[in-house]
Parts: sequence; structure tokens; C-alpha cells
Amino acid sequence: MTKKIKAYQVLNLPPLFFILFLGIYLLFSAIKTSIFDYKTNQFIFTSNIFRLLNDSYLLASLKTTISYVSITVIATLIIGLFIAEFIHHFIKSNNIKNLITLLLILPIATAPVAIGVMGRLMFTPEYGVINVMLKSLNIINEEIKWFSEPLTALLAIVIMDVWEWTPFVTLVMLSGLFSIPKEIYEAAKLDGASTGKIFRFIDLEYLKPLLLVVTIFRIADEFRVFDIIMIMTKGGPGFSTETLAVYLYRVSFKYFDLSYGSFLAILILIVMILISFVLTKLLWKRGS
Amino acid sequence: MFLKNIFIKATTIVTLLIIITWLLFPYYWMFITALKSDWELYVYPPAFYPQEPTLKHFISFLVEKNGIYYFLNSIIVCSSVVILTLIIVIPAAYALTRYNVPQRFYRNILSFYLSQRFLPPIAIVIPLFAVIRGIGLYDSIYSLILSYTFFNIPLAIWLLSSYLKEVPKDIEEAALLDGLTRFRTFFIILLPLIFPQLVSTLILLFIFSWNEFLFALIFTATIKSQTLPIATWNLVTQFKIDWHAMAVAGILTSIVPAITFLSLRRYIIRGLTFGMVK
Repeated sequence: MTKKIKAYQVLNLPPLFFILFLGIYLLFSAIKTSIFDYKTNQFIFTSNIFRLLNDSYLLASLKTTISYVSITVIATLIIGLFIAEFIHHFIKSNNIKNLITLLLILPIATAPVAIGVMGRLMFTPEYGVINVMLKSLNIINEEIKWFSEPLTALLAIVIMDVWEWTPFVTLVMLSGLFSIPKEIYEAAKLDGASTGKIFRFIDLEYLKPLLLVVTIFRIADEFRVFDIIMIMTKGGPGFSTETLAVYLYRVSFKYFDLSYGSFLAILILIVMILISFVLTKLLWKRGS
Repeated sequence: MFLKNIFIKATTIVTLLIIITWLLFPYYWMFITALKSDWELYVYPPAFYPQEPTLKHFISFLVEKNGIYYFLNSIIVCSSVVILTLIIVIPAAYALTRYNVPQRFYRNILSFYLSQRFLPPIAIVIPLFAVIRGIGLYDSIYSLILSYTFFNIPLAIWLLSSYLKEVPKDIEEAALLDGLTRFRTFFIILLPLIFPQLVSTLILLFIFSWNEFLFALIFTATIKSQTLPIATWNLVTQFKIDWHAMAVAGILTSIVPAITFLSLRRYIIRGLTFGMVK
């Protein structure tokens, strides 16, 4: 007798089929375009490999991506954790706590495109408010032309990105902090533990697993950053704020080199599938 | 001791104010930019409040710049995505949690969906572009509906099955024993129980589609299919930048998600931490 097909398996087929079918189809079509040219159907695979080995833009965008991801992830984690600790320990009133969580949701709900617009409106030299503030605080003497220098342009984007994602870290950390039993704090206080010790030995101990998870998700999210950069600098000045995603966009949809674009896309996919496989395993292990 | 308490209180209030200002100021700046009248943009240093507030830039964006069409496109695309995703996903999530599913199957299938979250969309959009062109969906809203559904399914399954799992099985077992079909049990007993969670899932899917930029940028070319983020992008790429219109577009793009999120925040946090907190 053959194995009977179960009802739950049948009901799970549509979404699985949708994703697998489209996924496999996409994979094959990408492999095909990276081997044969999109328009002329010429064999192009070897020239793609040679191009990859000499691609200085790819290397530059890879460097930008790595520094961008590490800066934003670390900054959002530190600031986010700080705000969560502050709310958890210093805000006693529940109304204010609710108000803050409400406000923290706002940046998460806002489209990255709109956040890019805010960045433009605040940093642009003709109208921007950031220069005015820095000047009135005597931090700078001359107006900074934020988007004309590679370093300041990247800094402006990083600031907006950190603004967007810090609340997310705070919310997750807060949900972790709320689950710490009150008795532990009381016992610690009776023993005369200092604030620093409470943070190190209670909060951080409890948050450790959550911190790992948030870091994983933050890296995955920052790796795909695209919208804010496109709105704020389009990868400029020059190509200095170009991350991997922006570079891939330029190759495939501005130069319409879909063959080389697909080739790079497959490489990135392979790397990311391997990474995501490991990460997902890690996440499940923590759960059970 | 008394002085120390006052010091702590003062620092707390100042820190609180800094955090709140930090969270709200970008919105404030965008709003007053949209409200300022034309000449006020050329004053340097810029004022922190509009001297002659006007709503004319909102009207000019919506009517003269056809903003209303982008808005409608966004609404149509996002509603279709939500409906399509729910039709595909509800039976699957129901099956995963209400039948006797082996633990291994459950875990593997959820890991499979979770792993989708780590794939960079840019790597998928390039081959998808060729497919979309091949089947003639370039510059049509169907291309967006299709690709957003593709990206929303994992999140939807994950969320719905986690909600359904929390409802004890014996609640509906009595009804099943009485001879009700599974279909009717779902609608009569289960659905009312998870209704708020279902609505919040629906809204999350809506918002993620609403905010999406990359796919819309690549699959659309004209006002026939472009959504609000692309309307904003069109303003950014113009040679002479119209700051007013840009601010208005930014406000319109962010206002719908903000309102819906705030009204449903209890469930939203769970959705945002998809895969993190079980």
C-alpha cells in the first residue's frame, strides 16, 4: 500500500508550490541569463567570470556594505538597548511608558522612502536644519555640504538608518526586559547591587539570547538596504555610497547588463542561502 | 538624598524629552516643509515653524501632479495582495495547527518560510524582471501584486500559525464531534477567536506592500501602475527639486501606515518581531 496523502499536506501545497515554483523558475532563468546573453544569446559565462575578477566597483560596494552594515548594526544595538534600559528602569508611570512605545512604533511603520525624504529635507545645505543646529551649538563654523563628500554623505544616510531602526531594537529589548521577574530586582536591591551591576548581571544575562537573535535579523535587514540610499544620494557622490544592492541595481537596470547582473545575483543568493540556512538552524536551536 | 532624587528626576525628564524630540522631529520638519508657503523655503536659516501656513501644496500634489492616481494604485495593489495572500495562507496555517501534524513537518516547513526572510530582494528582482517582461506584465499592477504576494506568504504563514497554535484544540473538538464540518467550525468558532490577530496580520501585510520600493521601481514605468513610493522617487530624480511636493509625497506615503499601526499596536509588535519571539 502506498503512503496515504494527508489533508494537512494538501492544504500546505498552494503556498509551498507558489514559492517553490516561482523560486525554482527564477533560479533557472537567472542561471540561463548569466550563461547566455539576455539579448543576443551569445555564450557569455566566461567573460562574466573574468569581469567579476576585475570588478573594482563590486569590491568597493562590498567594502561600503560591510562598513555600513557593521556601523548601523552596532549603533542601533547600543542606542536601542540604552533607550530600553532607560524606559525600563527610570520611567515609572505606565502612561508615559505606553506613550513612548507608541512613538517608537512610528519610525518602523514609516516607509524607508519617506525616511529618505526626511533625510534630504534635514541635511540638504540650502534648506537643511541640521547645519543650522550644529552652527547654533558652535560645533561647526561653515555649512557642511553633506551630499558632496563621500564621508559626510555616508554619515547622513547612516544617521537616518539608525533613526529608522533603533526603535525596533528598543521594542524587542523592552519585551525581553518585561519578562524579567520583579523579585530578582528586589533581591538585588536588598543585597545593595549598583545600577551597573544590575545591568550587567541581571538585564544582560536575560537579554543574551534575544540580543543574538536581534543581531542576526539586523544584519539581514541592513544587508538589503536600498531605499534610503537611493532617495538620499543615489549612491553618490561618484559611487561612494553604493552598497551591494545599489550596485546590482546600477548594473542590471541602468546599464541593462542583465547577464552580469544575474550572474552577481546568483552568487549573492548562494552566499545568502548558505548563511540563512545556518542562521535559521541557530534560531531553532535556541527555541527548543 | 533629597538633592540626589531631584537630580535623578531632572535627568530622567531631560532624557525623556530628548528621546521624544529625536523620534518626532523628522516628521515635524517634513510637515512644516509641506505647510510653508513658497517664499519661506528660500529663507536661510530656515524657520522652525511656518509663518504663512498653506495647504495648497497638498492639493497641487494630489490634483495637478496626479498624486491621487498613485494613491489609488497603492490602495488597489495592497488590498489585492492582502486578499490573495490570506486565501493562500489561511488553509495552510489552519492545517499546520489543527491537524495532527508531525513535529518535524511543522518545524521544517516553518524554517523554510523563515529562511526566506534572509534572502536579499535585489537578488530575486533581477531574474523576476525577465519573467515579468516575458509574460507581458511589465508596467502593470499585476506584476506588483504577484511579487508582493510571493514575499508576504512566509510572514503570513508564520504569524497565523503562531496565533492559531495558541487556541486550545478542545474548543472546537466538541463542535467537530457534533458533526460540524471543519469548514464551518473554522468560521463559527475559530475565526471569532483569532479575529483581532487576523486583522493585525492583514494590516502588516498591507503596510509592507505599501512601503515597498525596489520592486515597484523596477516593474513599473508609468502612472498606470506606479505606487506612492515611486511618486516620491519621481520627485527626487527631477532636475529642479520641488521640496514642497517631496515633503507632501513623503507625508502621504507615511500617514496611512502610521495611523493603522498606532491603532493596532498591541499585535503589531509581534508581527514586527517575526521569527524572533515565539
